[in-house]
Amino acid sequence: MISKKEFTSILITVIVVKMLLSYPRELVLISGQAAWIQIIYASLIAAALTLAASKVYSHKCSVIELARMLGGKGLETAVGILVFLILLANFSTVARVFPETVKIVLLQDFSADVIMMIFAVTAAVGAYMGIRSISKVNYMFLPIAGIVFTVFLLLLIPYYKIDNIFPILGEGADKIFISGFNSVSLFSDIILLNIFIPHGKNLSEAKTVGIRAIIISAFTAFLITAAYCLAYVYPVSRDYILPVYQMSRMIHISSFFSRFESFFQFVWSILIFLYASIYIYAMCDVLQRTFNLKYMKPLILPVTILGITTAGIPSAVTDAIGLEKYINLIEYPIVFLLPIVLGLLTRNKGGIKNETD
Amino acid sequence: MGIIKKIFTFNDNTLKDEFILTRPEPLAKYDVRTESSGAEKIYVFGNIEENLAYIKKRFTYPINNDVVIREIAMKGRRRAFVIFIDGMVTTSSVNEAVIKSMQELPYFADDEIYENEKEITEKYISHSQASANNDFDVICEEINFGSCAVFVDGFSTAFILDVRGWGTRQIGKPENEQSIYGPQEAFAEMLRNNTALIRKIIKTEKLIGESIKIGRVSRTRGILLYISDIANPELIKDVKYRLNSISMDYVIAIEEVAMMMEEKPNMLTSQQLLTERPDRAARALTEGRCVFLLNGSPRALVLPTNAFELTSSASDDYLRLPYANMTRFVRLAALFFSVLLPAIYIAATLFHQEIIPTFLLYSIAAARENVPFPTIVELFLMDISFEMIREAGIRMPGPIGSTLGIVGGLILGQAAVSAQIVSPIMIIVIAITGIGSFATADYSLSWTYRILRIAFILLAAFLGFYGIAIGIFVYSVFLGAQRSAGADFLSPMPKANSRSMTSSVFQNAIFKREKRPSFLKPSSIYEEPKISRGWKKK
Amino acid sequence: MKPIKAAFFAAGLIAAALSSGCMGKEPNDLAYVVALGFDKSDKPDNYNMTIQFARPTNISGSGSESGGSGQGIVENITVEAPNIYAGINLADHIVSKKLSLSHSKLIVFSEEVAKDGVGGIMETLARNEETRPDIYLAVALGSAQEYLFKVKPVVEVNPARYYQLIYEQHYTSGIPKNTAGDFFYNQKSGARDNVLPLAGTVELNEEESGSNGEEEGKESSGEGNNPEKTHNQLQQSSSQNNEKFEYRLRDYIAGQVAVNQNNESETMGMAYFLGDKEAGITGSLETELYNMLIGYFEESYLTLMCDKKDAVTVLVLANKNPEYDIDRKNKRVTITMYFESDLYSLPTDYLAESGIEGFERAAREEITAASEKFINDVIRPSGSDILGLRSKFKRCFINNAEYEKHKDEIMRYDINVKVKFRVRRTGLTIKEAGE
Repeated sequence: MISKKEFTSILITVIVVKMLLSYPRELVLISGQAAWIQIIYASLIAAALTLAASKVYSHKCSVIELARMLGGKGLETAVGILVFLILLANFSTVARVFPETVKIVLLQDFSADVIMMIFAVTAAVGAYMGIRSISKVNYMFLPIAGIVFTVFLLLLIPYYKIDNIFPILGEGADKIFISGFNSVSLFSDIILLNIFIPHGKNLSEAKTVGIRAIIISAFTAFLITAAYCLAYVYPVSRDYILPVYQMSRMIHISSFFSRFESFFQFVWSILIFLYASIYIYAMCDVLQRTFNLKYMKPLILPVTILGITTAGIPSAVTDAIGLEKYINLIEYPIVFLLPIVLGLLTRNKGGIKNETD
Repeated sequence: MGIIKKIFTFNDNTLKDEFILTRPEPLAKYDVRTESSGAEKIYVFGNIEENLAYIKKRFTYPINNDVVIREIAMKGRRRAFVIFIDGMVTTSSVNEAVIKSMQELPYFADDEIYENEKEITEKYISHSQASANNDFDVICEEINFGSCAVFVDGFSTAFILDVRGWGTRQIGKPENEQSIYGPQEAFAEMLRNNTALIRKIIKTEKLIGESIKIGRVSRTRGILLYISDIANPELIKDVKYRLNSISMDYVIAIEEVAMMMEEKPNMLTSQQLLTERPDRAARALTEGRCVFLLNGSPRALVLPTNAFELTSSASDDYLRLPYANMTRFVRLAALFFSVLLPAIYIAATLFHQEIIPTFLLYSIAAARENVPFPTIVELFLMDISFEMIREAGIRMPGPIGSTLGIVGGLILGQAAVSAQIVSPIMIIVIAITGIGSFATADYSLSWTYRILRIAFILLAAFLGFYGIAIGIFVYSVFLGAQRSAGADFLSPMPKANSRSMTSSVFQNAIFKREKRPSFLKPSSIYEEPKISRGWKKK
Repeated sequence: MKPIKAAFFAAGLIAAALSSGCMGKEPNDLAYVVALGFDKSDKPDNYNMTIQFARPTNISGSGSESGGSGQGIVENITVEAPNIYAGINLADHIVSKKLSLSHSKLIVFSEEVAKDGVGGIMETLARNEETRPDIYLAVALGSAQEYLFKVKPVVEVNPARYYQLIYEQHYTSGIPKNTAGDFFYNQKSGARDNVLPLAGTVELNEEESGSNGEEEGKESSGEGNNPEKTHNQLQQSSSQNNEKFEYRLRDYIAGQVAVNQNNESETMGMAYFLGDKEAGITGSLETELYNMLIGYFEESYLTLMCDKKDAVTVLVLANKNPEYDIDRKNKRVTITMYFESDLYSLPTDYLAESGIEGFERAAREEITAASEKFINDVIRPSGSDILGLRSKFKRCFINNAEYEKHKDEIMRYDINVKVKFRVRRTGLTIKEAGE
């Protein structure tokens, strides 16, 4: 069983990891230097949708079990495969971009394939140890990452220029509020809440977990976006593939302490390993529930291989980042609407109610 | 001439003198394990001759030179004998309390014995710890443990009198868990002394000491201690089950018991705590843990434990808050340096030169210019040398050991630098690493760090910081999956209202430790009220 | 079964480790580039790239008995190449160790290269992860190669440290700050136009050693291709420096400062850019004014007028960033600067305490006049937005589209300068009237 705080920390990790890769750039491409307004807007929408889902959810079970309650085996299989594909898509984009980041920053002379393979093996080992172990390590590590991140933001203070966020509405209000609606996709990893509900203590705890995770990760995303907008003036901020890494390169405390980006990347690597392990475990869990399999661990290796193979489909990093944008556009409606729809339709059905484990 | 003959001839006969070990004939008819397995129980005979014959056979008397059988003629020419093992008993007790008393006892007629056997034993045996038993297995076990057994003609039970008195070590100071403040006593080998040390700290009748014997042949005595209204009954049940299911012939030390009870013996980190301090064991009991003591071992086994507790030392509880946290911080730094410093050095110099300040990098590059070995080889060379010096220092007696460490370290390091086999900065890295590993509170943990260090060095040598991140992640998830007697190994153990991890790593003020560690799931959660300092109330 | 499993696992690990292909590079297998210099080549689109790399054994002294004495601490090599990495690739064939740019500190362009535009080189620096964003940039008067050849640090053993100390000074204001990251950032975004410090070389002139070189300055300072007209103008104007700014101080540029020194390289003055091309150069006094106006001025000694008779030197600190007030309606920009000062060097008969208010007023007027002259003589004619006015103009608009339509109009606004100058302290002594 995962405790409330561990559950919250899992969700925060999976949502925030996107911001450590290329997502801030995606925001800037839409609304320019008003990306920080866009993220607040997106967070409010995501929180509202999560709140709505939590109100209509009345069973302590995942979306797959809700589908079975509603439409039997057929619907259960369809929803299970859909959820699996969403998780696979999310995992694959990170599994593609992150090893490339490592190659650029840490191991320039290595082949990206080797780095990806090692990444996959590490994530699979983490998944093999089980969600309880991953959740404990995540809960232990997240505050450390938070402190490093806070220090990082504080060290960037000399580089913030308030002029950089003017004009205040950036590319315009329509871009922020209409085109910017799609940035709710940042929170599409919240699907894990609906998958891991059976591992939690009870439903009311899971509901609180969801809202808390959205609020904390939204705040973190806001800080990162605001820092990026303040540190880099608008047309330049469109260019950087890895915004957070780029900001870390700016830090220059004295002639002795500069070039800390390798150290920060090392901390973020651990966060991304946790993300990958959680995702592999979640995918195996979904498959186990969908097909009512007795054991889950034998699925880890094939799922990992599948994830890495899918990650290798885009031939270049730029293709991967472009593909990520389209994947995000398609998946976030499903992620937010699926629990609401299934929750509403199964509200009066029998089954596992709000049970304390 | 004889010598020349010996050299140039081959005499086959010499082979006859050479001893080669071969499997013996099938086991002798009399096998103590078969006897004591309960397959066929032998009880005390009513006739002294039969008892004497059996006892002599069982103890292989007189070949077994330690065993003493003293025949006694009681009043009315009733015969008796006492058997004990020389060196394990207090001879004066045997002489005065047993032999002399026996010789002065009144005469009992046979019918008196058969009717009033129990009453006679209760009235006339003037020894504080005496029991009557008719099972030869039990009697022999007690004799082996330093009691003496008295057989009287006509009695179908034997009397076991506790006259133990072998040489033991005195209660001294802890050798490996030293502390400036706090009690300065340590466990010794005597079980009863050890339990007494704990009982005089925890003076409650709720402190239960259950006797458990481990070892099918050695029947080594142990005591499982727990406080009945604090400890989780499921925990006690599980620990007892594990202890009782250990099946080995001879158990010598508590470390063997600990290894038999570990869930994952191949894991780098020990899942149990072994302590030589009674105060630490007592504190563990008050938190809801159980403590196992074994006769002949000067350490107590504390179950369950967790990763954070292994890094803290007993002295932390006796220091004021700022000092205790400073010590913990230093220990954290020692952990970091002993495990990660060589790996970070390797990663930075081989893969991430940009992280090194420019002038330092020039120094390193210049220093390494004439060194023939790659950095990784240099590191392993010096690391292995350091480990060998450390091991040699432990093996050497007294002053030689410490001198060897200093001389070996200094001279070897200096000579290696002068000979340009290693660079000077490598010596510094190894020295700080070694000092960091000495600064760990738990001995088993220092071994964990040494092994981890090698793993991290290899990872860093192949993959730089990425490898170190992988190592930390993989080791953490392995730790997270570990359990210690049913409790999660990576549980936080805060002793305050919050369940934060910082309370596990850093100390809370003593008046804020209201709750017992939650991962132990104790029966009684609170150990302090909200206001523990009554003088603070207005 | 278990030993076989363990054997397979170990074999797999070893195979994975060895197949990674690389176990990193030892620090002594690399040559660390300290500085790069770009001069125009005979071939179009090519540069003569000078690569200055360190000799660690000489720097740390372990290679010689005498220790790091500043001799032979760097090695220079010049290759012809179209960009940085092409040049590095070529130089790797010649230098036995692989050249690494991760610790490079300085990139110097010759004036010719600067006038042609340095955008291509900046793009390379922005794309690769080896070079740091905090590499210093400079424009060499004359040849960049000559500047690098003549750098011979006297009080440091580490050439990287020499560059860091020279280009990172915060206690003087005659050298503008600019790093590669800032240059790329400003040039790409149009936030403001860049300025780079001027680097030059001197020739040792034994005849003038010990003489007062104040009025005449240096003879040929090895400035090679610099147009004489520019330097003659500067020489002329420097003799009328009391009209410009500081009193009795020459408006030096690099190569003119010291009379006699062992290190023949100098840095002083600035080159200002329009886009990625150099638009002109100024001396140290203008650089000081630029730093004050943009807010980079931290502290410096200023020598101001004292009743037009004697020099008064004050330590001036900027206690606040300058404020830019843009009045769109009246098409005016008002720049307000805030300074506080300590009196440091006074003529013996000067009773500053009794006339502090007068002194403050005179100082305010002097700095205001000098700033406005700088704006009118340097910024307006060239159209170079080195003050970042366009960036500050953004606050007046609500979105980018509107801003893009009107962003150039601020360059036609009137610019007024206001100075707040207070003397806070008089040092360790204080004189009463009548003393």
